[in-house]
Amino acid sequence: MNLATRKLTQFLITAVLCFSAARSFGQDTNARLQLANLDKLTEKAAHFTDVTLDGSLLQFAVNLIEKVDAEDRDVDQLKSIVKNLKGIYIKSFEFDEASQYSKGDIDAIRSQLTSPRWSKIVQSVEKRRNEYNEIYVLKNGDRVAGVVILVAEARELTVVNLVGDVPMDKVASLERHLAPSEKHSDKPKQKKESSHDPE
Amino acid sequence: MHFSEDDLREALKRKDPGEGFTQRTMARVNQAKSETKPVLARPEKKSNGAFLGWWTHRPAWAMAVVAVLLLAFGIAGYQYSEYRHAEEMRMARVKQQQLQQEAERARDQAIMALEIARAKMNHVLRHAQLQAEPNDKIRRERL
Amino acid sequence: MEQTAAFEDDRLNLALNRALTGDAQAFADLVREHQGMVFSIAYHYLQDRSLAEDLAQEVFLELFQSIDRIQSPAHLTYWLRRVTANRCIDQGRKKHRRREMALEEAPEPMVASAHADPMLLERLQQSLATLPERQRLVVIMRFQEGLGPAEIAEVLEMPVNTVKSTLHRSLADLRKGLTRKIREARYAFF
Repeated sequence: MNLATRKLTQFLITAVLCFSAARSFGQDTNARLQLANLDKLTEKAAHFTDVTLDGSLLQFAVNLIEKVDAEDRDVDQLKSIVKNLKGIYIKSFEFDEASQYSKGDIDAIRSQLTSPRWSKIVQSVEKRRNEYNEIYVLKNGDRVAGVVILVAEARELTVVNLVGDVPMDKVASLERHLAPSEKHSDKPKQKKESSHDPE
Repeated sequence: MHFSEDDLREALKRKDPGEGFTQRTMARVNQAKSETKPVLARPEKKSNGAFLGWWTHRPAWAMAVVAVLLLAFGIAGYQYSEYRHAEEMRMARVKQQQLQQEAERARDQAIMALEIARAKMNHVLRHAQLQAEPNDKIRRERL
Repeated sequence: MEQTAAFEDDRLNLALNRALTGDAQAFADLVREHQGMVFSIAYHYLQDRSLAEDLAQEVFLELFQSIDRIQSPAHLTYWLRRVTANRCIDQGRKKHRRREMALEEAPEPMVASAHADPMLLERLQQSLATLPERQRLVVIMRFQEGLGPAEIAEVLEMPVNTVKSTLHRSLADLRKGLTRKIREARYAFF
């Protein structure tokens, strides 16, 4: 191999390594969706919930949760869920009337999930009721790097975006009594301020 | 026996000290002048001011005042540094409390968010499961 | 009269200012001006001529050393009275009993007024010597210097009401002392 060929080979190897590193670096950021386009729906919503929890704020929360010293299976489960999370993003709107959001609002979310790394693992469609419920997962090899839960119904639109290594089975089996005093699904939602700590 | 105030005034009339008193007095003054540096020969002392002159003649007083002032400044300085320290400690405690409150709020938000995630995930799964039911009637009832 | 007083003030002011600059002759003028007052206070208090002259000289010596504190002729008079009174009290405490006066030390005979009884005057002076120190000075300041109660209070650093009550008590004590002496003389005579 002459000098030029050797130099070119070294350059290509370096480029591939850099590209791979960039890919692995960008993996988690790809898992986070841009949900700002839904903010306009807050004016129409009777109730809305907006959660943005990442960076140091999420770390505070994780530290506090991990300090809980309880021999409770549910607390242990909570700890195992949060310890690998890097971000929790939720936009949830409840409307008094139907058709307060457009198909375009949902398509703007779905367009961010077209990458081959995103897999739609669950889908439930009721066209007559105009209900679309979907769960997407971002895979990183054998591990989960992100989850998106989309609930689009006549009087509700909810997008849940979890970034990090999410144990799906544990999330599904979390018990309700772990929630803080205001529960989400069974009681009327109250308008909340978002907590945002940009990375 | 009676006497009048005039009698008393008469009895206490001023008396002259006699011939030579002035000379004898000036002689003593001149003797004192030659023994010590007289005030009269130092008119420039007045330029220091009566205030400074008073202090230079009383070094013990001056030192006492300086000592008191140093002590006062020392005590004031110590108290100020104690105040500063206490204030810094208070600010640190306040900041710690604020961080603690922020962390607790974040924790509550995280738990609520996971509860939402759980609820919605199960909602989607339930709908998906029901859709798999062949019987429309059973599916509608379950929904 | 007013012009004379003003002229005197100016003269004394001039002498004082010159004495402040170190003029020995001006200082001697001040001594001459006030020696009668200072000596008389000391003599009527101590009833001893030589002690009174010593004391008077010390007062003027102290004046020489403190001349830069004197602000005016009136202040000078006040200062001399106060210092003389204080020195009289100090001297009186050192001397426990009045020593016998030799004839040549006896005070010069006064020019008696037409109405004055020389014996009375002499006995008044002797009675004065028996008064306590503050009472004695109050009487001297009142009847020798002609000061009012407020001026006496300022010189002797006493409250005005105390000066008034002291004066009243002093005159009563003088009368008592004088009556006792007359009785003793009559008893001795008879």
